[in-house]
Amino acid sequence: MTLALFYIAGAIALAATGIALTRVNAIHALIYLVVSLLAVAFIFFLLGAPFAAVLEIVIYAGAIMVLFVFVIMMLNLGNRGTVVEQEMMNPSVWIIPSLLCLILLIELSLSIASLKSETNPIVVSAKEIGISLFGPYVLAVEIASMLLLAGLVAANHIGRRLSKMDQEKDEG
Amino acid sequence: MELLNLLIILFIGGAAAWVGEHFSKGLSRWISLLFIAVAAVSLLEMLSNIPAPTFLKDPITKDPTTWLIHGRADWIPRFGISFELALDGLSLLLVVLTLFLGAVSVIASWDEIDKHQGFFQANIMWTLTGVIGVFIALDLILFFLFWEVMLVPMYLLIAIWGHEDKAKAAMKFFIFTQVSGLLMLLAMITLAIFVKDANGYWSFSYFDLLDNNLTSSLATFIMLGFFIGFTVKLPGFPFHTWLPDAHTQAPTAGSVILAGILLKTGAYGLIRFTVPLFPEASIAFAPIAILLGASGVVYGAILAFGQTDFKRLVAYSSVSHMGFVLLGVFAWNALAIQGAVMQLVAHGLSTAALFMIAGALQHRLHTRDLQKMGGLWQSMPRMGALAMFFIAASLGLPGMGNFIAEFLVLAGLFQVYPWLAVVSSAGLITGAIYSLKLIQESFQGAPDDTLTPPDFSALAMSAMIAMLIGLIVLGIFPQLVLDISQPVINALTSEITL
Amino acid sequence: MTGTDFLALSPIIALAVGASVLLLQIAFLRNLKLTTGITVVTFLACLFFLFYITKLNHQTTPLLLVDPLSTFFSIVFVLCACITTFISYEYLKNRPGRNDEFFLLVVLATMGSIVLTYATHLASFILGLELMGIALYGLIAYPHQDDMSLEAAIKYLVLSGASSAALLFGFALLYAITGSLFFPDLLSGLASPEVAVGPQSPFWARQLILLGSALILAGISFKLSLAPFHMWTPDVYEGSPAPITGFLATISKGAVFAATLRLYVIGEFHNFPTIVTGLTILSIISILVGNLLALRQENIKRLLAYSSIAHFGYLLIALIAAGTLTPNGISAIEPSAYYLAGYIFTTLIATGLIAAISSSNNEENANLSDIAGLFWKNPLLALCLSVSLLSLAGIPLTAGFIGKLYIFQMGVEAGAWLLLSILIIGSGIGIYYYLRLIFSMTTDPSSSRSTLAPALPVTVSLITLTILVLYLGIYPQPLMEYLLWNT
Repeated sequence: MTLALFYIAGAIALAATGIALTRVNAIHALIYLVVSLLAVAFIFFLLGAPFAAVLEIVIYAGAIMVLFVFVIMMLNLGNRGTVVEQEMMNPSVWIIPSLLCLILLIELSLSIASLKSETNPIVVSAKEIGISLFGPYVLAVEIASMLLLAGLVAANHIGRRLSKMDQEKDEG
Repeated sequence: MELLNLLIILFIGGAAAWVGEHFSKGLSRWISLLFIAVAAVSLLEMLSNIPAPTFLKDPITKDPTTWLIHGRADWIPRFGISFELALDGLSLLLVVLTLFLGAVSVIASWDEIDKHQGFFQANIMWTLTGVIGVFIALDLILFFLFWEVMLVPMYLLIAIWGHEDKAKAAMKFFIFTQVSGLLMLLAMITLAIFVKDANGYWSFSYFDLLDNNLTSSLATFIMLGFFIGFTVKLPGFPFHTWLPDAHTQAPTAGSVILAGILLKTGAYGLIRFTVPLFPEASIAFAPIAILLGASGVVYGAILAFGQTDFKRLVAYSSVSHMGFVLLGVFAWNALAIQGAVMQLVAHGLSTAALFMIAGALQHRLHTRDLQKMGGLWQSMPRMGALAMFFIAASLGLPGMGNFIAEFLVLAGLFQVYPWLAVVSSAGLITGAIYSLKLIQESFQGAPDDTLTPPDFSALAMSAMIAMLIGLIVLGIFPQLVLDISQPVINALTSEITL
Repeated sequence: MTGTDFLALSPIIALAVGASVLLLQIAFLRNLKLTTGITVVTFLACLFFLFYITKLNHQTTPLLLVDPLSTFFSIVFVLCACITTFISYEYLKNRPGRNDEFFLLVVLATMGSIVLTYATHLASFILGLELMGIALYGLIAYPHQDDMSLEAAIKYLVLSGASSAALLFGFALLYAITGSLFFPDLLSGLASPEVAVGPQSPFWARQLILLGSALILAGISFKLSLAPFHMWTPDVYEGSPAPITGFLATISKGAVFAATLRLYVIGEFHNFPTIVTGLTILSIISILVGNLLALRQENIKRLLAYSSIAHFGYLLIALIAAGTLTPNGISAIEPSAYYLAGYIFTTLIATGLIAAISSSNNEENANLSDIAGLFWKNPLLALCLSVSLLSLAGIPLTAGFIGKLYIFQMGVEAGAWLLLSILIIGSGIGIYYYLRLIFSMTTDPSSSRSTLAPALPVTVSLITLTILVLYLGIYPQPLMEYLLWNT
């Protein structure tokens, strides 16, 4: 039963990602990406990581993707983006990288299949994650906070500058 | 470690000359001369402390205590690299030659260099520091250090104060020496690692490395590393192509140092390191080396004959003359090595003087082209007479040092490779041809009234006269020099027989 | 967390406190001088703690291991960051706009480099890398009205992101094989009988290791800009603000290398012939490509970018040779640490001088013509740059020579003749462009417009670095012993 669910979810994730890649309209692509992320979240759940599954939905499918949708709407790319996208769909652009990725994928699947897999995954609860995050990995949390600070400061600086430049352009 | 003083004095002299420029324009030249004199005095003082019989006693090559002066201090114990300086008759001769020609080169630059005088003198002094370091360093890495470090000021001398094509010539000079130097460094490290594996401790000291029991194939490769490094500097055929460019483009003082001293470091390396460290490999390689030497003698002479540029002609004649050194070293008998050592000193003096004349001509006429010269004797009799003398010396006229040198080399070579000695003597004949061409096209011939350059100044004359006397003394009483180097050569040839 | 833990972490804490103080200061009072001052004090405090813990050897949680070697690296990085601060102040003070955040990002990037150096866990490895990377994206894109720096930042962001992804995927595969992210467990995991990755293990299991290590190698090669993963380097160096070019070329690369060195040695990756072969190929291509492409460059930043590609190629020789010399590959540490320290100080002189030139010209880039006549206009700085270039060329009396001596020694002992001959060829080519720079400095000054007179702190920093390079070249024994005893 679990196995069947796993394969269904996996198939959905793969298909949704594939469709997301081939859409010419950015919003459509994003919606498919959200579907793909939801499928991945389900796989996490099946593997015994409910917390990771929830995070996947809340943060990736929720926050980040919605942010993307907003930004794309705000930028108001219109048909220009679609035209560019259509040009990029030319097989000469993607055929070689895809082939290389396919080879890599086959090799990976064969290799991973050779590993001795755990049949009964252990369920990791949110509490355990919390304990390890504030136990052995407390430093990782702290460093991550600094990382976010760096990102924030950098984004603030670059963003402010761009908006100022835009203003100048508008005035000029 | 009193030998260190020599290096320190010259190095500080360079720095002082650079600073001195800011006080008074001509001051740095006097500072250079002063510090060279101080170095000479300190060398004399060191020598005066050595009991006289030591100079005549054969040293034991592997035992530094039998050398004239020896000092050693740890430098990088991690790799057994030490600050080891030593002096024997051979290095003594070359150190004296270096100091003497150093003073000559300062005088040669007296009126010629106008721009950045202080830095120019500093570079001369630092080159001398490096060269003397090469002659007295007996730790291989220390030797390599001086070998490379002297390139930098020499590069600057050519690159800053050189003539029209200076950038290319300076670059060629540096890259040739540096790449061959890296090969030599590789050889040094390989040798040291091999000896380390046998002895159990790191050492780059010459005296420790003499006792290597290398397998013959490995020894051949390592020996080739050293051989190429030194032959490029010598320069031996076919590695000579950097030399004509560097000589031609260098300022006069640069050419004097380059031809008079720097080339000698290559010859010194062959005598001091290549053969003693790898006797068996050198025996096997000797025929090839001698063939290269003989080709150098003949090929250099032929090319010299074809030149129309005064400096280029002298440069190719150097290739030819240094071929004799290669012959002398690889014939490896007392006679031939004595000839080679004699050639180092005599060629140093005669070529330095010729380059000084070439520089003086260029300074006055703004050309080095022989076809634009002619009849200069008329306006510059003193310079003409001196040119005649040094050209005669350079072609090997009996009575002058060069004759003794080439004669000894050929006599020594005849004992081992009679046919090659015959071929090499052709170099003497061709030498006479291009030398006479040089004097005929420059100083003799119909005088050109439009050319009335001033003659040599008193200061330049004194330097020229000193070299003239030196060459005559070498020609008439060669024993003076032979006596200093004889014990070393006896020791080397008795310990190592090819 | 015990007292020793806090002691071990004190340098990182000092930087975190400094970053927080800077954040508050910028929020309330914008003053570039004050910001610079706080940054310098932060770095000095960090240096103080680092010197205090030089002898400490302490595993703080599975993430970080504080040991003398990584403390040494951290000292080098923080020292360079401090000097970068002086240079940056000169660079920023005459520029329009709000420049204070620059220093906050420099502190954070330096913190990333220290985390990376101390990392003994793949998680802290990635976190340190990204902390440094994200701060650097901001720093590269910092200058105003400059499209080039934006282009450079985007290039760096995208390529660095892609390489991080490759790295993460590789780490995931390692985790799949060994079940651990902790460096020492990686070793036992790879050697354990359940995984049994040996010659007799199933073909596909070995392929997995190969894939994982290939991805990790590719990711790290991107960060170290080893050819053929070097394409971004010249463009990003050229587009970045000059002080950040220095940061990228020295601290950023150095920290990645230090972390890689630790991963390589603790994980004993030299036991995998495919990895060693991969490194050999990377090394050869990097030396040749870096040196050959540097030949035609007029822009000094691009020239240094290519030369740094070549230098990391040389550095790899130590890693490759180490496996054959000692069974646990530990002999790689001493040579590469020495070489790296020498390279970092040396390169910082050159980039610092470019920053000084570009501040005085008010231009982002310095060409060969900009240093024309430097020997006569400012002999002291010309001497500094000459020492730096000669050290890069490996001339004796400089740190670069001792580094090269180490590489030669390792190569000869391991019998890596092919690599050594490539090294000699590469050095021969390298001399050409280093000498070209020196030659430019000696030409007539009239062709150049800039009058270079940097502020006292910059001059003092550059002279200090020059003295360090000469000291490491003339009296290398103390550092050699320190590195030897602590490995």
